[in-house]
Amino acid sequence: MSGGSQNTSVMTEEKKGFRNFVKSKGNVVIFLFIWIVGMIFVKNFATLDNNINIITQSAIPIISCLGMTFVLITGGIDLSVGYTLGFCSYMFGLLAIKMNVPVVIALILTMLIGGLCGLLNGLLVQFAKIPAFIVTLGTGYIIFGIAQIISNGSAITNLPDHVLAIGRAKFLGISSAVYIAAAVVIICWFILHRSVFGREIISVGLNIKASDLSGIKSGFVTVSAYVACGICSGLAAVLMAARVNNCVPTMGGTDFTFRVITAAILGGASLFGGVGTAWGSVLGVLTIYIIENCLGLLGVNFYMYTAILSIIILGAIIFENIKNRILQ
Amino acid sequence: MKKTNLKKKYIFIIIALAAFIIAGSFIPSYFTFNNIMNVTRQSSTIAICALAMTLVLIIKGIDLGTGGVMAFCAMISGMLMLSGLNIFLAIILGMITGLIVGILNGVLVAKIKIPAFIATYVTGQITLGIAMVIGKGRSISGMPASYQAIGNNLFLGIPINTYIMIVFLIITTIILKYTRMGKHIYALGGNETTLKMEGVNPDRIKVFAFALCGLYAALAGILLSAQMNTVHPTQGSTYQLDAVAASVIGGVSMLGGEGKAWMSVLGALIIGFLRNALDMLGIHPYYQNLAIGTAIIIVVGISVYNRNKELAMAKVF
Repeated sequence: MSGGSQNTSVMTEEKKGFRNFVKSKGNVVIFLFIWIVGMIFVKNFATLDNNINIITQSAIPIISCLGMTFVLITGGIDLSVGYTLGFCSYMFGLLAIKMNVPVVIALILTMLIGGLCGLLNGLLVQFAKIPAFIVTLGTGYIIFGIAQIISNGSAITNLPDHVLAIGRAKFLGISSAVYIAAAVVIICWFILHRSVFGREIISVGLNIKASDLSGIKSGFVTVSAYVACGICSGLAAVLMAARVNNCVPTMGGTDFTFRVITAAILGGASLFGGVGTAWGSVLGVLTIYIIENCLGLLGVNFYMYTAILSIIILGAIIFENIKNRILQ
Repeated sequence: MKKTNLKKKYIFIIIALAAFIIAGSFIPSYFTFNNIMNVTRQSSTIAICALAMTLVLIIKGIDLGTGGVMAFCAMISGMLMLSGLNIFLAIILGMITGLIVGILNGVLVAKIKIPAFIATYVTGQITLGIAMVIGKGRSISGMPASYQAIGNNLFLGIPINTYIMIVFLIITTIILKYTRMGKHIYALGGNETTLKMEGVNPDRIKVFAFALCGLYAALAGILLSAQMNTVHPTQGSTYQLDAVAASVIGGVSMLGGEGKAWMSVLGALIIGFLRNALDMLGIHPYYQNLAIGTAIIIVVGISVYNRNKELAMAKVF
């Protein structure tokens, strides 16, 4: 670290400015680059409808991705997000349809259930000191198992209109999911970048020992991050259920988890903790869905998606790691 | 001191053996030769995956891409067979593909310094994606009869699968126990700085372990598809969890530096027999996922707890 600071002092102002730009705005550059390439080269991409469509598709993953950003900043990871999503969506269906609980209460209860899944992860990571990826790999299977046992392999379909309205109602031509996602983005942005708690999360991610010594309750902060991630997954699950008109445990799965983690990393969050922004994660999700949208418009086979997307992701992670090493 | 360590290490094996015997005495046809051979055949695939996982767990890595590699490499060799290539050549080419994926993992982890679980997860997704593209999202079948024979035939009453597994168990044991590389693998998991001071390049060891891991995963995928006579893109999806579970039950430490090949194989056999017992008792597979997920967390939790206690003891003295 001391070597790095010496270098910085020698570095000219101009170079410092460039370094800071690449370091903090790399995600914006990637996003704009891909968006402009899409605008110019992909037919039918540059319509308003298509862009609104991309934003609508991104809304739900953005909510989950923000939750994941909290966890990544603390230096952890949550591989159970997709399974939590599936579990919560089924629980929402169970509450709202089978038990006739009022929709708003069902929504809140679902978010609580998501929060409980997060709490389980957080407690195991913090107090059993098991590496986060092992804990969440295990709990993912546990949550999925419970969801399958409760649902007995069935799905709840044909949700009534007032339930569908949560994620589908339109205002000014934009679906309600987008408004909810926007609200979540603002809340998360405020928590991460304008509150003491946000500073504490970043501090814990950067150096847990120093944080402990300066009086931050690192255990509480870490567990809260996982709980926040779970709550976000619960909310995303309800919106997802409304969007696809289906509540089923297999809804999220590892595919969704993978996408959310990737988006956060594309958006500049570090796997080593301490780095990550709310806006970055939003851009990360949008970048992924722009790529997917372009692949769709170009008529690329659906089965190519996973392969192409994961190669892009690998590129992004390698870029991120090399960038960090050169800049530090 | 040594005795308690021994007890700690073998405790899960003992519990699992007890469960095995209790299960066997309740299920009528459990201890028949046919059933045991059947389970041994199925467990051989898990065992090879567990050997692969053990190699990387010892160096503090993990492989979360086993499922993808298993599908991808089996798909490659299946396709080569369908295009008329000699079976053994096709299998070897499939295994070389696995080796290449493993080397890629190793380079990503050692040189680019991406955490192992992310690097292998991503390459797992890439290989899964390519397997999907090759099979157009469906399974491929129609491989020659002799391919199916490798997965299903018996030799002296024991499945050919199991012989292959034993051969690889012996190879792994020799590598880990009697070669310089093996000693370095354990040393790397124990303390990387010391190893560097001795002038050993840790990157080479990491790449070697991941490469071997990829090779074994490919072999497991090929044996699995030979057994079913089809290759399906998602055929390996349950195996990475089983492999992690088998290794940790067999006493491989998640914190690196510890683990024995034959113990992991034993862990794999235990998982195979327990799954079989649950099946025969008519318990739904849903509960099996639940049970294995819980088992991993408990076993790893206990081993982490023990390690921390030992470290605290070491600090006191």
